[in-house]
Amino acid sequence: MPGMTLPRNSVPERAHPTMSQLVLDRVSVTYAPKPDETLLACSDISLTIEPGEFVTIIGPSGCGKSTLLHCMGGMLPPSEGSVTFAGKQVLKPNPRDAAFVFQDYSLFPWKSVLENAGMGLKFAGGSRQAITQQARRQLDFVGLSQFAERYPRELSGGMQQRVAIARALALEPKVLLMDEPFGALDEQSRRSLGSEMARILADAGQTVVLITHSLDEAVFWADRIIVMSPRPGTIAEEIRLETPRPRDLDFMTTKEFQDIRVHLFEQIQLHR
Amino acid sequence: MTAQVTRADADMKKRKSPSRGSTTHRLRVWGLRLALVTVIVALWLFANRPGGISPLILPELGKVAQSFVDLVITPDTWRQAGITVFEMVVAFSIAAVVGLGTGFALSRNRISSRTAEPLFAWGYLFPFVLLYPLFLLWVGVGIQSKIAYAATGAFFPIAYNTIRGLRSIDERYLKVGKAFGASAFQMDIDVKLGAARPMILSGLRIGSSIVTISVVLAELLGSNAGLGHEIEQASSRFQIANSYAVVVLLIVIAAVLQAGLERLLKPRHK
Repeated sequence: MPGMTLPRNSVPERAHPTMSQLVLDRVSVTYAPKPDETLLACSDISLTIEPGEFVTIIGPSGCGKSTLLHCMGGMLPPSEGSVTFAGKQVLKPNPRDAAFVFQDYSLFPWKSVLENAGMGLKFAGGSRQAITQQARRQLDFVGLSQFAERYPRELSGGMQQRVAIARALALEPKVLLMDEPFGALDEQSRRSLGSEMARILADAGQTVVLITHSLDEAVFWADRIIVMSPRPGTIAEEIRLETPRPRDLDFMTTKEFQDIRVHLFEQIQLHR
Repeated sequence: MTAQVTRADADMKKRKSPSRGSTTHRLRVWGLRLALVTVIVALWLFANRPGGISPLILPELGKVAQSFVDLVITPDTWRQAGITVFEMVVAFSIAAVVGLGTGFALSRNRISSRTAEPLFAWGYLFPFVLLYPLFLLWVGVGIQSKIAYAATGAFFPIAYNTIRGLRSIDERYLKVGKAFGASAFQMDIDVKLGAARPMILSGLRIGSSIVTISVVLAELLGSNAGLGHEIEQASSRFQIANSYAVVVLLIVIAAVLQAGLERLLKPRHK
């Protein structure tokens, strides 16, 4: 793969030195599922997410991808190493820095779509009017303004996930952390919602870290692909893509896409 | 493909049916209810026939109706009813506030919630009527003892259901609250209260019926005012029709209170 793979842990060019950079420094996470048992979920991971970058993380099941993402957002303290955002250590979730989009949407079924989109803003405090206004703007942004007064159960899975994305974007987070956001959708809505969101996020210049199982997703969305090894998860490889984003669906037919996809397939599906 | 389409269709039907078929459906339900009342009235009239059930046990329907009318036009009845309703409302409010507050406070900590849960379950099962004489001793014969007694009884199911509901909240919702920076108080109000709402509401409903029963029972067993006291007075003087009439009035009052509570508990939208 000449030209697109970078050696492990290579230091990217620093366009904005430490400003809004999310830096993982030798992060390891150990779980204790039982008192006399420890489980190393991911080990010695160093990674820097640059502002405006779209990073996808891919790896076999149970390689600690989700754990890593939770660490980035302050949901889970690393057992070793540190996570810093804009030079400050991340100790607890701060949705203005890094906001989550979870796989199962996790909307509150007892709240309307509009209330759900404004939930993070409500927690952050602010006038009801400002919250409603911003939530409406975000719903509009993801194309759901006419569903504001509905309830999540009345929406399809793809629409619910768009509400969850609006909820995260409403806080204008510097980084969006997406944990297999389209994993629960069928192939077709997955692809259409995926490419739509990819465009929206690219237009907004949003920094995104996205975890996925799908090789297509991992390649299609990314400026950079992080390939993780099986447990304990380490960074096996970093792949940088040349084609600028946002990309059209026909990017999937290019040689670059196909080459990387085949390479990932070999890495993840064959060598396990 | 067809599977998906039929599922979507079924979804549509499920969502539409309550509004489309509702008129005939509702008519049928009310028709059946009316039929049931008619049957009861018919049976009552039949039982009152010469040689039927003694009027000491089942007074004539006409006499009960007459007593009811007399009761309703007597100002003192409404004073007594007011006392009973006041006791119910105050006892329920105390039980709801204290029960919910205790449930939420204990649920912030896993250990305290685990410790309290079985205790509240026992309190829920315990026949508090056994303690009523003690309540009379402690608080006196007045309305305070009725309120204290009914509120104590209703506190337990409310607190118990609150704790149970809060314990069984889907982890996902708590995760969202944490990820989006909710404070402990916001977590209680915006996340937990919503997620545990069905359980909490059923606790409040059980609590309200316990309050209704307890207040009337307490008035029957020992008091100098209230509708329960009226029933006790009437039946001890063999004014059976009169005591039936008070029972009917109590049923009406309980139904009105229950409807009011349901209205209060109904979600704001739909």
